[in-house]
Amino acid sequence: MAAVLSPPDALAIHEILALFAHVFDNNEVEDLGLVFTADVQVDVGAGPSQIYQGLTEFADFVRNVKTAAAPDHHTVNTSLTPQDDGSVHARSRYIGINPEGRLTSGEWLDVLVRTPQGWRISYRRSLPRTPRPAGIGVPTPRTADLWQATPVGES
Amino acid sequence: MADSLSVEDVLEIHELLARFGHVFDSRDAAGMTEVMTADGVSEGTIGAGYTVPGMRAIQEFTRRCPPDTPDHNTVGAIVFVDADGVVRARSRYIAPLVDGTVHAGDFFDILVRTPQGWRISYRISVPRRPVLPISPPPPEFFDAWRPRVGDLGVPREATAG
Repeated sequence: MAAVLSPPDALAIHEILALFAHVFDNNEVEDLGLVFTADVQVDVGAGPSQIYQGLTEFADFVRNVKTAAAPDHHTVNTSLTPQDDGSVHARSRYIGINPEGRLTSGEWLDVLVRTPQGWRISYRRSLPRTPRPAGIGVPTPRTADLWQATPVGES
Repeated sequence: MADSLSVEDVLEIHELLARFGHVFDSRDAAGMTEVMTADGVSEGTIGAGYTVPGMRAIQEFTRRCPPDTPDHNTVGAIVFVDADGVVRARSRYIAPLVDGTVHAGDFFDILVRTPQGWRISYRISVPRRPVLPISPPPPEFFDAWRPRVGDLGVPREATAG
């Protein structure tokens, strides 16, 4: 039987996904623990990804790389799929707006887990989609298959 | 004062924040009573900043909005009760301009429950992208809109009835 997510849990997860941008875009490194588990893994990029292992390593990235030139992030189009192990797969899009007012966009593939403090992101894969060269399509790694609503190979 | 928010409260506040964009962007001055309190205050930080105090001034401000004022599309809303029982929301707006470029920024709100439902009693709007001249309050002013452990991500109770 497929796992079911209650409305209060779904709302709580949407809150954490919304909180991410407020914390990350403002370099509020000390609040990253409200969004991520201590052992979070964050993979950035579609090709050979940049992997951050653990909240401390990711916080260093936020502290050192986030500058006024970075885009703000807006999370939209979130789809939640509860898993049999109690975790939840979230698939969202981000719209990035840079200081010149131009857009970037991409996908976030998240795993959320229930902790004593509430829902937290334990894994995030960040996959840029635009801007990109015309005519090549969006490069998507195989791991994205895990976030398909219907497992690959089934109909 | 509010000790906690139910699922219904949070959903109603999300609805309210969305409705604000529709009402204001439609220049629906009468409709502003459905989104802000009678003594509501709306502040902006763009340029030298401005304060619009009270429903009469808010309705006049809404009516007089220039035709090219960008639309307000609200995303990323979080809603929680602070240590003093004040209900606060923090969200972002994405505002498409008439030329197809985009502006975006933060909304910091205080919400109150009235007999007619939830309303915004205070809103301050802070542009973020593109980088524009702004006159915001000092950074510590916004600390009250930073949720603490347990404020978010915790399944909320549905209220009976």
